[in-house]
Amino acid sequence: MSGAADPELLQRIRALELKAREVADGLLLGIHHAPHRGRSLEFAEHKEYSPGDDLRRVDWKLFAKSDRYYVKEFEDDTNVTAVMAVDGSASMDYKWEGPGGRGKNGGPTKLDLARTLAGALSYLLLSQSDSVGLMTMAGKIVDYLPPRAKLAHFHEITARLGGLEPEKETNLAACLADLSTRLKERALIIILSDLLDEPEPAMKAIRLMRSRRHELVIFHVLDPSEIEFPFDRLSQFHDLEGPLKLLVDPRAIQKEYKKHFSGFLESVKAECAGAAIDYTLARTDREPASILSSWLMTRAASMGSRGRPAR
Amino acid sequence: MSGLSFLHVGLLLGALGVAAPIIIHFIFRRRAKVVGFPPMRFVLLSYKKVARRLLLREYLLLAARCLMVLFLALALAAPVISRVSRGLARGEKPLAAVMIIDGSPSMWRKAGKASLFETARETASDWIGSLADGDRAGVIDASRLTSIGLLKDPGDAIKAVGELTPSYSTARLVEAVSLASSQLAGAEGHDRVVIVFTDLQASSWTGAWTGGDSVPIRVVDMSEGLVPRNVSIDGLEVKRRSLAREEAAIITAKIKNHGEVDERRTLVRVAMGGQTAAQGFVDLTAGDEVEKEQVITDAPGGAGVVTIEVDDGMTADNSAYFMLSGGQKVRALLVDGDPGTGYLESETYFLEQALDPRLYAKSRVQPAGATPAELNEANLDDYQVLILANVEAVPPRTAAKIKAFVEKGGGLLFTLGDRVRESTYNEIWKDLLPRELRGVKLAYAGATGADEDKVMHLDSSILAGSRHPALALFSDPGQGDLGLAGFWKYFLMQQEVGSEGEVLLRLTDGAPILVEKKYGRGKVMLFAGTADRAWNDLCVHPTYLPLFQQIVRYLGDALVEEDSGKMAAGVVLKIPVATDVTGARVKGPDGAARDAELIEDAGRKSLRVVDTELPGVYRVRFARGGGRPPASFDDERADATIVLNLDPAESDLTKLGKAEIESRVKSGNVTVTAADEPLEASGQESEEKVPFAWLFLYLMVGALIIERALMKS
Repeated sequence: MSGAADPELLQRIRALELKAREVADGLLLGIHHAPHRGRSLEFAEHKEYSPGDDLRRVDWKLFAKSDRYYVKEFEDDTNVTAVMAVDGSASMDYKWEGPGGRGKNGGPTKLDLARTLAGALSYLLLSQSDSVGLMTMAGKIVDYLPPRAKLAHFHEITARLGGLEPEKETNLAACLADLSTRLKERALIIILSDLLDEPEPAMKAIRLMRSRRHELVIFHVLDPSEIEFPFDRLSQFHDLEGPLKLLVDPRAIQKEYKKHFSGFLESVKAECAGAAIDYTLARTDREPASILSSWLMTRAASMGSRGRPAR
Repeated sequence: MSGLSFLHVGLLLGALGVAAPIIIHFIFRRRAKVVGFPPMRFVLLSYKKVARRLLLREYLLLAARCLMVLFLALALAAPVISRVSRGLARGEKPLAAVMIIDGSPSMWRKAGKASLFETARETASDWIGSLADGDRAGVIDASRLTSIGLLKDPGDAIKAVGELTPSYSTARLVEAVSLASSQLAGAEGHDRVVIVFTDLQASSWTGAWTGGDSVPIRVVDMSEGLVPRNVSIDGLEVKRRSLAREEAAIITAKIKNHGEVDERRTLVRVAMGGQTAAQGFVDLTAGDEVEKEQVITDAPGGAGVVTIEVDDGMTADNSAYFMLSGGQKVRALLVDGDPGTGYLESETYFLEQALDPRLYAKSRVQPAGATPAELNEANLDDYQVLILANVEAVPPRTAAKIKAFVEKGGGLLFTLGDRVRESTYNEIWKDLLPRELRGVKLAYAGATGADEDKVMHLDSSILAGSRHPALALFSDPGQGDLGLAGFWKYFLMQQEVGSEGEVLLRLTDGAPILVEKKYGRGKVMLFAGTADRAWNDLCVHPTYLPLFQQIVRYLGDALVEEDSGKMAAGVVLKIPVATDVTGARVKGPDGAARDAELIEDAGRKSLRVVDTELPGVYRVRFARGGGRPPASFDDERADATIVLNLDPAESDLTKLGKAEIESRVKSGNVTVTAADEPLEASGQESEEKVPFAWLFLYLMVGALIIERALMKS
């Protein structure tokens, strides 16, 4: 489904925008620290005056005490370039509709959650004057919106997110490699994906981006049924992105499945920890605000541990 | 005859329901919920790991469910096993039937789990149980020829059948049929039949036909289809042989394979006193007979058994018993009537050397020397044998003492010489002498030992036919030739007519040289020559030693005798006994002692022992002088020992045909049937239906339990 005139699409975009704002409003300001000193209320340090400095920033009280000119410097939260990399493959268009699941109408698909999280994060970043871009990906980059710092850009982002239609295939590695060529400066890349692509090439691409000094944040979006495999009757499982079909009694393989899947999660977490990548498991049965709140608190704590005050 | 059928055949269509689980299985597969699932990679991985187990479980589940349906359908169809009753065919009259059961050893063979005898007993009980009111039944034990007569109560007849036991004796079926026919003669107004349960063994169809009405005889062949297999000991020879310095017993067993199966490495074991004395192996092809010789050196006296270890199902003829009696030490008193001046001139020197040779360490004779004067004072109770060598005369008191000694069982040997006067001897030893002396004879005038051409010799030909225990040794040429010794002077004896003494040895002129007489419980022997070199040169021949060893041991009842069980078990034993015997008890192989019947006929007494069914060693203890035999006694104190073995004819499994049976039982109305056939095919048969739906219900529950367990797993 696409087209700007589609009322359903417009409704979805509006709902997404509202949801994103609602989520963002409930969160604390600031996701990152600016890499240079700017103007803000938070004092950072004194600097000896040199010609060209703004005279309004001279600390006259200190001049009175020391008879020397110093100017005040403040930390500033701005000027970060962020890109939301949203996985738009068919596997993201999944939610469990069986008993115990959140039903056809009740719960979000993984793509819904990814959209909400991406929208909310975009709003947060734009609100603090950062540049935010959007990349939706499947077998290749489906849509790319370059980063901009205007708040009005938020509407464009949500519009693109709302219009995102799942595609059959995934190639996370290729998409990230493509993104890397498009970014001219260091950026905060927030990946929202189920990472069910071939794990090795995807993690390799992620590590490559990290080596180019981009900061990476991964929201691993998963449906609870993918983790717990709660199916209880003979089912024919088929792959959402391929031809594979398998008739199997799920109770017979549940134990093995959980063992394999938890192994997969652990390996992703370990890879991320090894590459200093911020990893968050985003289950569709959790509220987006809760997911972001937890992430922000964890992130603030980790920043604090690196010598910066936590917010 | 039996068969499977269903009371509700239509319900068997329910078995088609077996298809239901299969169909449901495939429907479920088709109706399986379709689930689009992103992490298929992990589903596939997990499935591969358990696929084989899952598939197996799936097939087992399917099988269990199919079987449940099948068993249910079979149970609902009410299956029954129909058995054609093998009851007795009957006409309009009531029936009188006599069952003859062959319990001989060949019927001990097994066909399946039960022996032929047990199956015969069971079948006979079944048939008696099928008799109607007014019918009568009788039972005859064909080996013991015991009968219960014709009974009206089938319960009593069934009880009698149940009490029948197998026997070691050969069945006497002809006699049994004759007896049955006689019994049935009294069953007026009845249809009559004799039914014989046997394996048709030819040796069982023996016994004399003693008459009886001609009645239908049904012979049930219990061994139909059974492959004949039997190895037996058909005969046993036990011989004594003197080896260099000891005596050996040679046990020769004739072993025959009567079956149709070759028997390899069959172990043959000889045991005495519970210990294995010798053993070896034989190979026997079907129908083959071999003689297996086993040598037992320094064999002790006592009972022994030869056993062949073969699993042929007929154990009774796998053992044969024998007895080696005697062998104990004999104390002999040698009275030297002519001591001379040097030891070589002593009358008893050579005799003493022969009875106790220094190199012959294992001599069983202990000789002691004495003079005639010392004889008067000697206590003869210390000796078993007294030898009077050229003793001129003894005082009457001493003569009386010697007579009493012999009467009580002692042995007395006279050897003669120059000091002996026939008149004196004939007077003093009137009762004891086997024959009266008639004077000394010279072989030829002037004959001496150096003149070989003019001496008499012992007549060896008499030995060939001699079965006397003291001389049996010399029937073996290897023991030396008695005929080589030369006799130039000897006493003549009274003519044989009317004489009591038995001549054991003669000279070539026919003159008796060794004569024996029984006196009381003892034995007396008279050697008509000298024991030294004075009248003959026997003492310098090698045969001198064994001859006098055997004579003294015989007189002392210590001669080794063999009994290889020639008599068959089950026979009536008749044992001649002395006139003073007033009773006897017989101890059988089972250890039980029973009184034996004492029979007196024309002044001769004998014992009659009837209970001899068990093969083995029977020991007899006599009571004398009006006394009673002891209730029990040790084997060593037995007065007589008899060994009985199984009749070798019983081992032959040759079967008899219908025509031969008819000729033996004097009847043209014999029918031979197999054990699993109805008694009479044309007769009325009753069909018994045994339901067994319960079996399928149990099986269904079993399948259900398995299905549940598989589901849980």
